[in-house]
Amino acid sequence: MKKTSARIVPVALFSLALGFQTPALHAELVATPDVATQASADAERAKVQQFLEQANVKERLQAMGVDGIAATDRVAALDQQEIHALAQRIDSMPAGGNITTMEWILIILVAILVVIAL
Amino acid sequence: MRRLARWLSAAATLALAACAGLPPGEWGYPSTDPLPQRAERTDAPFHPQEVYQCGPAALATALGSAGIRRSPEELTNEVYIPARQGSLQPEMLAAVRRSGAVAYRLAAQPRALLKELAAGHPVVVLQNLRFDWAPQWHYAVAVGYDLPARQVVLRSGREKRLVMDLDDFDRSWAKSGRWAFVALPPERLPATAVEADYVAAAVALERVAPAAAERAYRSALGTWPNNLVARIGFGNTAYRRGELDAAEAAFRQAAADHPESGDAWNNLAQVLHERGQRTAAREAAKRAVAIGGPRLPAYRRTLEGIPGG
Repeated sequence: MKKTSARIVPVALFSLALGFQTPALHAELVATPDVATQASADAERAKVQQFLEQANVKERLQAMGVDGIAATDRVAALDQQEIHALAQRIDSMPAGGNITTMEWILIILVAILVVIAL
Repeated sequence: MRRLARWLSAAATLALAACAGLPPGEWGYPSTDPLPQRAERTDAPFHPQEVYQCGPAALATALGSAGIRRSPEELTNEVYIPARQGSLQPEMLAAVRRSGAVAYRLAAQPRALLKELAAGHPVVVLQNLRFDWAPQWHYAVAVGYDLPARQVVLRSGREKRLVMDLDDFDRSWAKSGRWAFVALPPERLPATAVEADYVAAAVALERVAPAAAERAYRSALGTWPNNLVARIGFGNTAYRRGELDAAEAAFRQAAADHPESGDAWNNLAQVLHERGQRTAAREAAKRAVAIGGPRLPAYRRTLEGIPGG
């Protein structure tokens, strides 16, 4: 019994440290996302990378004006692939919004130039 | 100065000419799989967009059509990024899940859009209303179409019923790679649902809304009863709610359908153990350990956790 807990404790700590995206089922049920991924032998390393990416995305969201608590919740709602995609290219990803002031200035500039040219 | 202006305008014209994203899509339909000539969800709610808030407005419309009332103001906190003055695609999908609905990405084809609309499922689309070199990204919700008139009907920005020419719409949509998704209650499969993609959408939902995911797994199993991930997911969500009966039945079924799945045997073993069926639990755990695979250490821990033997 003691041996078992000695093994489980580090695993549990590791899980906590990683903030596993799936709320850990107690005991040793295999969580659904793990069943779904064709896990490689590198599963542990992949989890560490996920954890780092998650922190990175949260940081970037905060840098872009999302407040801390909201950023945590928002990252928690993303799945692994989405986090990966954001970590890779959050800055170049299209942000559906509306026309920005800067863009208006550009458009008007181009329009003026076109009119002058004609 | 005049020469510069001329040069610039020439450059602009060139850029305009080169702005096509994907090639024009196929909006016709084979007679083998006919769609209605026209379809429209006239009852899809409309939320006039505030400045920069087309993402939250489009989400509120799509969720409202699925019977989930959420205001654009609430959704703004979940998707809007001040520095970008807009919302990113992954976060749009995440906000759907946080609302307890399934977010399902459509195949990048006009036919997928038409099929969902014909089924009465409004579709959130990402458009580029301007040029590739100076994009204006915009979320709108397609709610209907009229094939003979070659029109798409949208809730867009401040327009409650924007009717766009099919070709104009397709051009603006193609620039985003025809990115689109539906937000549906977990009981309802998308008209274009593909097994693996739908189950993946349900798995993504499990993390934030397990109760909704359980219903989505049930929908998936209704159509694809052999799906291992959906079956185990159903068992896991039932287990988490303390419904050990339902969890055991699901894991038993998973192990029967997929005797090569160590995960199924492992989860079955754990539930049996908790229900006091020690011998059966050990049997199941041994099967998992014998199968092995990347999660062998977890299977071993399950086996070690069951006393006796």
